[in-house]
Amino acid sequence: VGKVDVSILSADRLLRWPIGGDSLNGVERSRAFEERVIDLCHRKLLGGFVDIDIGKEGVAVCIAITLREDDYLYGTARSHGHFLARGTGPNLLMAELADKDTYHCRHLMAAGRRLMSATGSVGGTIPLALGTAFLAREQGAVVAVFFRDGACNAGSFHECLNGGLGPQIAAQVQDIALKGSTDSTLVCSESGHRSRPCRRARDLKTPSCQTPSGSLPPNSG
Amino acid sequence: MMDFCSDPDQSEEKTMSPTSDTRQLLRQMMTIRRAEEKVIHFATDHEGLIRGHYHVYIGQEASGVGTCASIDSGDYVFTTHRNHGHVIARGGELGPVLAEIIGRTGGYNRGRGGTFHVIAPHLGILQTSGVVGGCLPLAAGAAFSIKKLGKDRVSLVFFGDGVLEEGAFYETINMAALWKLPVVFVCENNGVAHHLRRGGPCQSSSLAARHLTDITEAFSIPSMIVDGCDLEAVRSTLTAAIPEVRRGAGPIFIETRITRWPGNAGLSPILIGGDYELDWAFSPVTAPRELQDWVEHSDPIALFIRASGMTRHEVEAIDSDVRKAVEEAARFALASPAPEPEAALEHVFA
Repeated sequence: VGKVDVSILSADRLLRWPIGGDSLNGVERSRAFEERVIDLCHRKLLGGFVDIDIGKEGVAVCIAITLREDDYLYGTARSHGHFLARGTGPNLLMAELADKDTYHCRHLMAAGRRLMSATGSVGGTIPLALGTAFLAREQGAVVAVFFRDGACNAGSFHECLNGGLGPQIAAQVQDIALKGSTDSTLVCSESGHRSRPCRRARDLKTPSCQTPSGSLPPNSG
Repeated sequence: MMDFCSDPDQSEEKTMSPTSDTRQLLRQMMTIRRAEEKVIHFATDHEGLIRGHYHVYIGQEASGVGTCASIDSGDYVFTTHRNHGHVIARGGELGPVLAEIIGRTGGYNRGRGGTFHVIAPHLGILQTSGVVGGCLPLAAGAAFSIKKLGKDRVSLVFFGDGVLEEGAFYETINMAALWKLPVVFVCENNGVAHHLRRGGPCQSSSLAARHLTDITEAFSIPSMIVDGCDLEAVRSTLTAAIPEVRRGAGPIFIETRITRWPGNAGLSPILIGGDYELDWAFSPVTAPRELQDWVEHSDPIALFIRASGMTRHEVEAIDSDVRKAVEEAARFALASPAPEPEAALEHVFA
């Protein structure tokens, strides 16, 4: 129970996934949503700092459609796309962003869809995902947790990979060099090719793969 | 607390140099062994003399003495809950060490530190910690100061294999490697079967990785495995590797593999068969049955004596001196008063 077929994370499988129909709609919907968010920010209708998903919609959509309904998903500071891809209505999501009393852009949550939490703290949801994985293992479900390369330097990342013993938790590293984002070449000690988060994960016996990225236009915000 | 600003270079006590001879190395290991036996006697023969739990360094002497023999007097050392041996290997005086362990005012920290915190800044030992991995970030901080001030020093930190479960370990090795800090990470992996000490797969019960060094190599840190019961192996490995660290090439990681002393198997250390007998070193079959395998394959002192070709007479002479010194230090420690409760707030600086 709880054994994950890690092939669902293989780069080939993701690349071969038919991008069209619903998937394309998902990507387009996410892009349109974020453009609207930017527009509202510029018009001062949304406050605070907003992280947007433009440029990596495909990752969110592909991961979301490989998960079952009873699987769990944890997000990051940049999670609008994850939520939309998982089926959260754009109206509800935008309402959450716009609610000035409980403005929690980085703390979206939709437990009904097993969208457990998003967080602004780097690597903050990884331990939560590991905890949920104990439950998911009993239920035969998996937990997917999004985080970015900067989180690979947080101690919690390593503690969780060690504790999670890899296959019990499906981790997706979004190692994307975005303008204005942290570049892993600046914060990771390893030299050479940019597959360092995967190398660290592999050494903790976590099956790892790297999906190509960077072909999408860079994020401007 | 001692004066943290004192420069270790100015210390009157000089730690041993890399050219120290065989006798001196054996003397240091014997001193640790006999002092730790005295600590166990303190705990078992005198009710309440040592408050709380304590940890002894028996069986790990080669790792501490070999390591400290390969660094200079100006270098910084950080250590763990199992620090007595490191402090003595670094040149700590027995009297203040034993006095600190039993919380007396004659101790290095005037009895405020106790067994977990035998800190001796004048020897470059800036901090010890009972928190697993607690000293690693501090060691990186000291190394950062070395780099910023352009000093010709290294910051060496001892820790156990359990530390590799800690997030602080990963954050520290990443930053040390990224900023090329002069840190020497010495992991004393003290639960290794004797046939695995020189290398080979040796998985920790608490770590998913196959080798501890797989982790540090993933961070581009030069990593070595050495038999931690073989003093010469420890010393030669570190003596060869540390100059690069000193030159600014970045940190190194050494796993010293050590076989557990059977007396450490339980919750509290036990002197199986009483104090260590030199006969055991020369003829392991004369040791108590529970110790025979350890004395034959894993006791760093027995291995060192047999490899050195020293005569029974020479070893006895050294041991006799060491025993006298330990007895004298124990008398000093026991005669030293405990701190007065009214003095609890003295020496508080923050």
